[in-house]
Amino acid sequence: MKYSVNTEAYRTEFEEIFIQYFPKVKAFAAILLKSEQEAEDVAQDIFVKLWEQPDLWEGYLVRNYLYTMVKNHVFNRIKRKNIEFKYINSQMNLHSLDEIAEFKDPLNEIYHEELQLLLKLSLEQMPDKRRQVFEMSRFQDLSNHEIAEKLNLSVRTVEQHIYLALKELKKLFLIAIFLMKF
Amino acid sequence: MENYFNKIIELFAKHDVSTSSQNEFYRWLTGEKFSGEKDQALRNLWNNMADSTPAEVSYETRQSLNEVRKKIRQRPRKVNTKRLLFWQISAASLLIALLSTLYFAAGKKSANTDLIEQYTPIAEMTYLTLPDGTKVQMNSTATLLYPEQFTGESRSVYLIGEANFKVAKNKKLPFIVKSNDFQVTALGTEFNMKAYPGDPALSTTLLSGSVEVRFNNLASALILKPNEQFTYNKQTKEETISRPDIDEVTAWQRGELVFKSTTLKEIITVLERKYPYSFVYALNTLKDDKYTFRFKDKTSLREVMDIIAEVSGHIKYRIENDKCYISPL
Repeated sequence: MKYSVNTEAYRTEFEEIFIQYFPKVKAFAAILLKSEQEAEDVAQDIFVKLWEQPDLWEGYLVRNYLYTMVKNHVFNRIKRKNIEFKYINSQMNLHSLDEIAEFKDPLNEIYHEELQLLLKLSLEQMPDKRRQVFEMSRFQDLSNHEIAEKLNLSVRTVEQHIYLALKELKKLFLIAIFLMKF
Repeated sequence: MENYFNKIIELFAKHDVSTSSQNEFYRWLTGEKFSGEKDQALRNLWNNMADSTPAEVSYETRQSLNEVRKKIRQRPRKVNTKRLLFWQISAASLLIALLSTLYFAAGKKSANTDLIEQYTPIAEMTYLTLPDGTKVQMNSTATLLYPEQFTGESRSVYLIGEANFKVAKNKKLPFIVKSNDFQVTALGTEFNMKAYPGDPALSTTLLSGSVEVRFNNLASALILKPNEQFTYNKQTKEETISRPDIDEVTAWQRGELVFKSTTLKEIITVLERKYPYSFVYALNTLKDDKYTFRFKDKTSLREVMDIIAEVSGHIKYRIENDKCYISPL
């Protein structure tokens, strides 16, 4: 061990590491857990453990160690949440994914789950009306006329919503597909 | 593709999401499938977040520090040799994990050139030579991604499906075949690798030379000797090393079909790759009986199915257009 435990030098070194990394660990946990309080708990637990691991305090090691720790803690919390992981039976099928991805790619099938989640998350960022129209059109297979009637919109507006939704999604998916690094 | 993973995490990180999306995201994130890619995407998020400097330390951080100090004081004392030993062990295993991460990261960095995607359609085989002279024979429906030019400290390719690699000798640049959380590293050697997404197990068979196999999210590793086959079950996480008949492992390269105590369902999975027909059947039509068959190169599907139907004795089949219907006799 580089330091003897709980000397002045030991405490100072720990404090420096704490100040440098605690906000990052907490922010990372908060992004994934979407809760400040839970993130604070996770980050505190990790640094309590780090106190007794001075061998790992060096720059490169500590960064990797903290990443591994925060990931594990967050995953454990997620698993403990006991969420009923039901498949939300969205009628998104490969066909609508291919439509957006603009070509049939064998990889679309392999990454089906990823594409679906990507589609779901992207749809949520759209204005409500546009998302609603798009979902009715593509997942509930309603015609533009039917949608117009149900939502009390003109057919032209419905068409415009679908056009814009597709355009936005395509842009996003093309970015995901063509910027693929590896 | 890796970008799908980055994009999903980025979208989740940046926006408010509905509870249902959040749950779906959690289910996806903690799922075993593609855990290596997901980890890499999380790591990217982590790496893109800035460290803090003492100048910008906030009141909240100070408060957190005080609470952590309090918790440290309240912890039970730990001057017990057994526990020390335990820490040493966990520190050692952590170091191994870190080293393998480093190793993996080094492999990643090397491939910044354009990637070429080679897909082998159903019922075909592809022969190709990679930029370094490595010869690859790909089985039906396999996909291989490789860079136009190998740069960096390793030669990395990505395989989905089955292929045989005759690796061009280059001791300085290890040749790495990756597939999800499984990767094989070779110097100059010949090996067969099978990693179809639909199959429960991945396998690598070494024909000559030596290879290192990493699995279990790259956390475990072992070295194969010639003629050894390593099989890793993705679901049960079970690993086995066997010494199969090499002739059987490489049969597909000669166009032959070899099944050794295989269920009809598994046989059909292979036939669907080999022949341009899709199979239509009710699952309960196929019993769990196991069969051993060997078919020569260029045997037609009709001939294969005639024999299978006759031997099994409980099914019949009919081929219409591009479909093969199987029904109980």
